[in-house]
Amino acid sequence: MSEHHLVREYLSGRLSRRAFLRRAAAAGLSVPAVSALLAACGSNNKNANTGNAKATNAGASNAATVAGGTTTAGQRFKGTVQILVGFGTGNAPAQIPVQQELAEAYMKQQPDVKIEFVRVPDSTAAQQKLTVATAGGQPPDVVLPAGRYGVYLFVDQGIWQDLGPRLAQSGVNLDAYPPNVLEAIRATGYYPQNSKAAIGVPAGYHVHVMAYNKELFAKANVPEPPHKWDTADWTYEKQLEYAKRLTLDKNGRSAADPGFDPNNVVQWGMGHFFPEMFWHGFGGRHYDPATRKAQFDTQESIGGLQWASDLVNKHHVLLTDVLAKSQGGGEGGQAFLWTSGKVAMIDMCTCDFASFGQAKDFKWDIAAMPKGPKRTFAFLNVDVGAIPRASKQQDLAWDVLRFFLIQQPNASHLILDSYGAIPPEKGQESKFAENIKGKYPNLDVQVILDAIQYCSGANEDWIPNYAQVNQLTGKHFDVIMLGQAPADSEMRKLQSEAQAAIDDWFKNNKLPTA
Amino acid sequence: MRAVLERYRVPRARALASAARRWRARRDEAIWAYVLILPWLIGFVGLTLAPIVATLLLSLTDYRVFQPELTRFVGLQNYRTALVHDASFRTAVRVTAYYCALAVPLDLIAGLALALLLNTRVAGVTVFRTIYYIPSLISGVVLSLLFLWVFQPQFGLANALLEALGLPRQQWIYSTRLVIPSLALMSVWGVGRTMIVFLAALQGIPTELYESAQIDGAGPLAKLFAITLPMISPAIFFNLVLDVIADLQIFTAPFVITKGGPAEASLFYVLYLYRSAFEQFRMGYACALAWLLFLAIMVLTAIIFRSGSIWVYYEGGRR
Amino acid sequence: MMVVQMSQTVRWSRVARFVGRVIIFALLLAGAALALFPLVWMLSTSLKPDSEVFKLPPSWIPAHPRWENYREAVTLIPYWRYTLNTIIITALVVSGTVITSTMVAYSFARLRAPGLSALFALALSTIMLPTSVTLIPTFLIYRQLHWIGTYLPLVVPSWLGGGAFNIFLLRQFFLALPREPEEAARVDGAGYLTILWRIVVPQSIPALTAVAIFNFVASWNDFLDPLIYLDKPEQFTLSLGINSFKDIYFSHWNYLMAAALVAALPCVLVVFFANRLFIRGVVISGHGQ
Repeated sequence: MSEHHLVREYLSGRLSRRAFLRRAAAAGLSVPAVSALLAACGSNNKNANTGNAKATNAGASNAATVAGGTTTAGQRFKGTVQILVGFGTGNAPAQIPVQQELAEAYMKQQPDVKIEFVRVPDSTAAQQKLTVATAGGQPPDVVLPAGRYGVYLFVDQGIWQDLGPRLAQSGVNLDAYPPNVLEAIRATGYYPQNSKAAIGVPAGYHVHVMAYNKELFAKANVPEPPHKWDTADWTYEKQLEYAKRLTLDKNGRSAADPGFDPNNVVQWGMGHFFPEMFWHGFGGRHYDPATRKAQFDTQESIGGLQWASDLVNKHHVLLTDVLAKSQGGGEGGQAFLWTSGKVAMIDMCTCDFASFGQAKDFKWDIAAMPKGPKRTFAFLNVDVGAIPRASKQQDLAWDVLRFFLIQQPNASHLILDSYGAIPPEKGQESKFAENIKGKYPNLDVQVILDAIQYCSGANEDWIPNYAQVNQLTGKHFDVIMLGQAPADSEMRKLQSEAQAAIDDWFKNNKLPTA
Repeated sequence: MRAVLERYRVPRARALASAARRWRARRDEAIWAYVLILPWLIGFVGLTLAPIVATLLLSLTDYRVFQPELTRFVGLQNYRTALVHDASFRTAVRVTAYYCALAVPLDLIAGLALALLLNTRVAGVTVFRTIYYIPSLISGVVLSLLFLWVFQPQFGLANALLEALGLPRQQWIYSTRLVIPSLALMSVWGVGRTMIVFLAALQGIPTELYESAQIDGAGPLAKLFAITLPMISPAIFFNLVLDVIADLQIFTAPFVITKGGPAEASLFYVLYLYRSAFEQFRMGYACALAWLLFLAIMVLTAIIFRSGSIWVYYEGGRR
Repeated sequence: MMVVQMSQTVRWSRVARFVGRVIIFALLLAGAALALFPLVWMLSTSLKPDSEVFKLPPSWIPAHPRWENYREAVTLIPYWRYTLNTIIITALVVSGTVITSTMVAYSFARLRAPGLSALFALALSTIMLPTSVTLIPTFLIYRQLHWIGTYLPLVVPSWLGGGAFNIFLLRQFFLALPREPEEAARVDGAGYLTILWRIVVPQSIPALTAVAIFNFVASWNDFLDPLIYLDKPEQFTLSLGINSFKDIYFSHWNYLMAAALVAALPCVLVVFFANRLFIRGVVISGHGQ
């Protein structure tokens, strides 16, 4: 394997650090050369503007540490830090070495500290473990990485330490983070608008773009969708028009033709699109913190849901979510049909390259999401690292979290090479795009770089009685998407149930005054 | 006179002596009874009773898992909410009852049928016994994942089978109508335990009974109803009680496969309880739900036990 | 005349019996296919390379069976460490359950004492409470005892009676046994433990085997308790380890199936060998068809 290949394999997580070192040695590279390579892979941000980044010569010293920088000026810590991993990604065998590496680097600088990773299989197990352990008085000290939903479940239980003050003191330049990503740590609605509260530190994010099958478009004589976001006529209506022409029944008729047989569809114009996207694109939202009222029964919300339902039940162009549920964890069902070339357009997350990205039998590319009547909306997945308030090692836990997520080059190394996500610090997203370009040379990665402006995590925003309202939403959305009821009546039902849950929350709880 | 007294005294002394002996024997028996159950008693008081009492007390509060100091006593409010105001509670009860009505008979009949077949002297019966028990060895999570494949509407095994038989494809677990029957069908793969218990019971039936029935000219059906079923009625009773208790508490399959959907059509009771406890953090409410379930199970079990005195036959005599 | 008719009847009934056995065999075979298809599917998936796992339509026989999946599945995680842990825990659990539940069940079945039947009803009722709710109070108790992070919460309950399920099962069996041998032994002056060990147990081998099998499997596959009570990865059990191939973005089904199959093997072997005990139990008691 050439050095270039080795580095690529290492960066993509397919090669563990140990394997990388072994093969590099076998390839005849000397130890200093290997460590220089490792340092080059890791320290990709020579202009780290974080407070204490002393650019250690990680390359010249032994290859055991890639991590640069030091811990909080001179302070020595003592104790054991438990990091709970499992709320999101992070436990796949290929992801563990980088986390181990950073832990070892930290322990080298703080010999009296021990870092333990408590790994649980999935987010449900993580939730259970966190709940039981915290209620029992033995919470983990750090939760990393955790998806926004999992973290927000616990917000109104007062479980997370407010890291706002620590973030402010750490000197990290939060203006260099995309505002949409920062939203994830603010828990706005629980904390007031524009507060400096933070329930975690961003640990990478993913954007959603639209992937499309070039060959199906060509065969149906449909112009390819624009790659530039916010193009004037790339609207939902346009997308529907294309989708109709790209949906074929077994007799070759498209959904735009008369005599189309919706019971024997063999190719779908759209797949893996979710009602939440159209809901927000129409201007709908779920909650207004100012009035404390749910917003499910507004015209925008109803319009958005009806549009989504019609895609499935009236126009027959959207492959239902049913298949996406067919494999617990991951997008197996939808991925099948996409990779076998049966779907023309899909909503693809940059986290889905391992599944959707494996389409090898046809040419495909990525494009911008279409614009809804009120806005262009695409999903944003943000992971965070958080510290439970009940942890007995608040300062130490913060120092570890800082070392992992704020210190460069650690943060980018961890987020890019272990989690496979986009590091939030400005300038780092190009590294991510480069990695993608390296693996998928035919994709227009500029779409990814432009996406962040239009991606939003609004569908995961905080709302009182978070779990219950989200479950009610899921239930009623299911009914609408199955075509069992029109959006109008169903959304009104959802509104009254959700509002009851919200009112109930305010009867028994108070918002923090901070 | 002496003689008369003697005549009464000796038998009375003997009677007293034997009464004392009997009393001592009963006292020994009682002591031994408690000695033998001592391990269970310790565990029960220390590790079982305490948590159960705790949950009863919690059900009368709005216990905050993470901020216990804010907990308030609310009396029977949780119970009232569940029984009167909560639509999801009623859904959960309905869903669970429907499932039990399907799954319990299915399990008993399948288990008994298999046990009868496997109790014969057919070639390779030991191998078959192992084979039929294997599905219940696969962990519930893995089995549930497998059935996600089976019930896949597009290319799953179930629809493939239907198509081969010329029947229309179904949505299975994605249909609000069929999701419960689908899960009940899936539960048949767990028939191993029931089958083993029935097998052990069948092995205990003395062959002489069948031989004499044969001589009396009884056919196979008569033998089944007159000998087999009554003789294994303790095992039927056991499996019935356990099936009811277990099926009312089913959790893994709906949790992994359907997550309560579609549209709450598979919102099983314990799933709803789990959600209330671990996702909505309404611990007090969850405890109330648990005690309501507990009461329901106790009532049902009591009914089954009562009816048992009519149809369960114990060779050893007493109840 | 009668003799001729008799032998004809005998021949017919022999033929009928043979045909009956063939039908039964055919039924069993068909049922076995149904029972085993999950395993076959697991095997098939476990041999597929990543690219083939998500192929459509899914194939029963992988085009390029990849036996390395097995080697990788057991090396990517500390599989043998987990196996050893699980063996230790399960061995302790099964022995504890069989021994203590036999004692307790015998007492409930045969002995009389004031309050005993009430206690049995109480024991039975403990099966009826869903575990999710007692989880937190139970955790708190273990924390007071400083047992969190050890194997004790997983093992000790089985030595304290082994659970109401096992007690109930054995009690039913003991009740079905004839009383005469035990009463005769009583008259001869035998103690209760002697009766239990020499008379009751030998007659209950099938039931005891059943208890052993059930608890072996339950302990081997237990997921929730190890999740809650174990913290250090070196203590983890197989059930925790197998699930680590699931990721929120992309689950490695092939490794998961390979690991699950290897993990299921001991259970299969235990059941297969336990079947011998069933037969031996039959021989001793002289029953069966």
